[in-house]
Amino acid sequence: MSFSESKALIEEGDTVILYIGVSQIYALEVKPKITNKLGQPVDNVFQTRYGSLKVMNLIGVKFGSKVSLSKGWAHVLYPTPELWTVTLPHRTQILYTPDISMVVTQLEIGPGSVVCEAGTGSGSLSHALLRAIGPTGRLYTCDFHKERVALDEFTHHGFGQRVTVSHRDVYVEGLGVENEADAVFLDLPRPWEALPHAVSSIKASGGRICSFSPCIEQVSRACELMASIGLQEITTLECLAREFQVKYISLPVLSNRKEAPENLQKNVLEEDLLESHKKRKFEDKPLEKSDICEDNCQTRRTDTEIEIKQENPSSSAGQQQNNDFRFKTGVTQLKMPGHTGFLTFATVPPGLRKVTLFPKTLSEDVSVL
Amino acid sequence: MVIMPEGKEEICEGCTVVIQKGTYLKTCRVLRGRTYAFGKRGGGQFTLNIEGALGCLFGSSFKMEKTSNKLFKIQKTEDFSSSLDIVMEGGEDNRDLRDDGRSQKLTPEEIIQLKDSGLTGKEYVKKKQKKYDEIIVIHRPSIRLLCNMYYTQDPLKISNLRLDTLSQLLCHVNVQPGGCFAVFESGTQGLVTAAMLHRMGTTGHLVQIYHGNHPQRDAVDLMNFTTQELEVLSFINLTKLPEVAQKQESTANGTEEMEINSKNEDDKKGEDIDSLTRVIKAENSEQATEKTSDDAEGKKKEFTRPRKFVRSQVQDVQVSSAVLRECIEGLVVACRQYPNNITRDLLQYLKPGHPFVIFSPYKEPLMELFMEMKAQNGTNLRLSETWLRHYQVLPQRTHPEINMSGGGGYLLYGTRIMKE
Repeated sequence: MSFSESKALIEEGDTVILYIGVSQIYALEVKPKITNKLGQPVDNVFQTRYGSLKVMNLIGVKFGSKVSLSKGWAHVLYPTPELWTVTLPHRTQILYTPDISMVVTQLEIGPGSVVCEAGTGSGSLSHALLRAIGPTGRLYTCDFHKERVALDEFTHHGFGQRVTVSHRDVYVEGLGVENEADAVFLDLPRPWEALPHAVSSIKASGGRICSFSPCIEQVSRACELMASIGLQEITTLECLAREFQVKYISLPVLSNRKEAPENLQKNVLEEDLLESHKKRKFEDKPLEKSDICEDNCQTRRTDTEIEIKQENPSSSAGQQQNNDFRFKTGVTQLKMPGHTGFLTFATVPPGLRKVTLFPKTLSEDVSVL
Repeated sequence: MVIMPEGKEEICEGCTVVIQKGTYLKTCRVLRGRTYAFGKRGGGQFTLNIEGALGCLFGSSFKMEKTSNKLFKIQKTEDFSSSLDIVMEGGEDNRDLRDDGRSQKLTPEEIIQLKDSGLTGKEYVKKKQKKYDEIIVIHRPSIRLLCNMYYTQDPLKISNLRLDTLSQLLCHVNVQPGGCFAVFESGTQGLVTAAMLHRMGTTGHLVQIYHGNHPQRDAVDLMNFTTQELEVLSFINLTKLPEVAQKQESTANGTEEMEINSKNEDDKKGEDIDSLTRVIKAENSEQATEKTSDDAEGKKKEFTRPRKFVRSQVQDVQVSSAVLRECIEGLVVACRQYPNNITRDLLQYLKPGHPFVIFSPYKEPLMELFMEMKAQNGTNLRLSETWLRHYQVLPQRTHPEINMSGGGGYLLYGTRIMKE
């Protein structure tokens, strides 16, 4: 199976994405047996909240079609690095698509590029890099931890020919590439220690470097070193995706008029309350936000609205509909990731004197800080 | 026809470059005897002859040297300092004193001298600023630089499609070498098409569906694509889509094909003339100084820009129709117009189980489309925007930049599913 081939039907050995709902997306490997917790081979049956799926039954099914679970249904989708990012088994903290996409564009990676990545982690970024370099490119990815070096996964996803994985300590051993890379990505706790190696792995005609760090102190130190060794276009940025849930919201319109019969008003309000409680069960959390709006709502009822109300004094349901202000909106998440990491990018200009001075610079650096 | 030399690492005649002076970016074609005006008319405008860059590596820095009143030529320099350093050294601390001098053009002695002479920090920066003002960097055009260039010139020029939004669009549509993709683009200078083409290299098919008389390909023309790369791209007018759909149906039913074929023949005659005039027009618009292929053969490093259109319009329509009929693996709609009807039209050519991405500067049409697709033919739907924040990173003075972009447009993305 390959992430970069084109086919219509699911075959044995494929990785497919099972999409049930926004928070229930799974990557499945279509094979007859899997190992259970005790290490014994068992039939590959995938359990979901909506019942089980015999994974082998997917063979011959078209991508994009609906499949039945014992108590519901789901869709099978073609795998992409983005869907892999949201389904992959976490071995570490991973990079998500907003950061990943920025890295690929800012590093100017394209077909045929030679890219170094330290460390591999769970392979979230690696998949996007492997797609971007194409069959003519090469990714050298390494990690300090042996168990994270996941060649099997890359091979299984059809990227085996494009990737060299190694287990190494980048601070000491470097990236394993000299004067060859177009771009280097560093996701390390002490990027400044790896920067000299990163620069020397970049080819003589220059290239781009990225360092990803969660903490500003790391950024600060890396930037200082970058500037002092002559890297150009040093930029630090942060990007966060804001997602909107698209839904219809109804806001009750309150009145400050006395004409409205006291008891009727009361009924409506109770129904509002009931209604919003009901809704809260069905819809997701953001409705609470509209409740807040209700409380603060000082909207004055217009005369026409009053007229409508007076026309149907008996039917409270219809009336409620008439008096609600209903609209389609994108509701922001009540909680979203507020910080992932800082991305620092820099250009290695062509002919930059490579860096015998490094140990000295480094020790100076250390002594200063 | 001579295409760009292998590796594309040296600046050669006829190629496009991005000139960076501080934060200012401008694209130019390197041509002998040609000068380019920089800066605003009236205030500090000057002209630059960039012949001095020929044969140097992309990304090299150059020093500007005055040849006459407002005319400058450029000379390669090993000074790697960028304008950023000026800002960095503008603080109140004494970091200059422990600078090892490699990023400093001024020697420590000079600095001490300057300080002794009683210059304040500000004056010192000013003095340095002037020094670095004369440095320009000549880059190879990239999507990053072009997007930044358009965005700094005027975000509305590219419908507020910020680099982070563009990057996400490229990821979510899963564009890659060897695949078949389609893009409808309008109001973004061809930047989306150029970016997709860049991600595809020399294999696969990319169909640009365009509105109006000509495809939007400004950015495509600035990327120094080779003929081989341009062959991946084909164009089709939005108005031709009904024909493609019709033909797709008829081939599926195996009827009336003859009739449509003969009808197409008639159309082709008209189109042939169209395309002929277009080719001539394109050739005329090329710079008069463009080398003929005979000339270029003599000098191996030279770059003759490939013909703007590698096919005639008729061929383009044929190739595009064929690709669409075979179905595509990713669909992009990026326009400042109403995107929903166009998306509806194009979605039928997208293979089920594969992704689509719609960009709009506004959220409202995308919300409508979201609801519609949720009920019909889409899943894994997301509507999002990104916050992008740049940082000033300085010892003890790190903080987000004082100004930031308020928004970079909206994306609706998801996967097409089969109707039941």
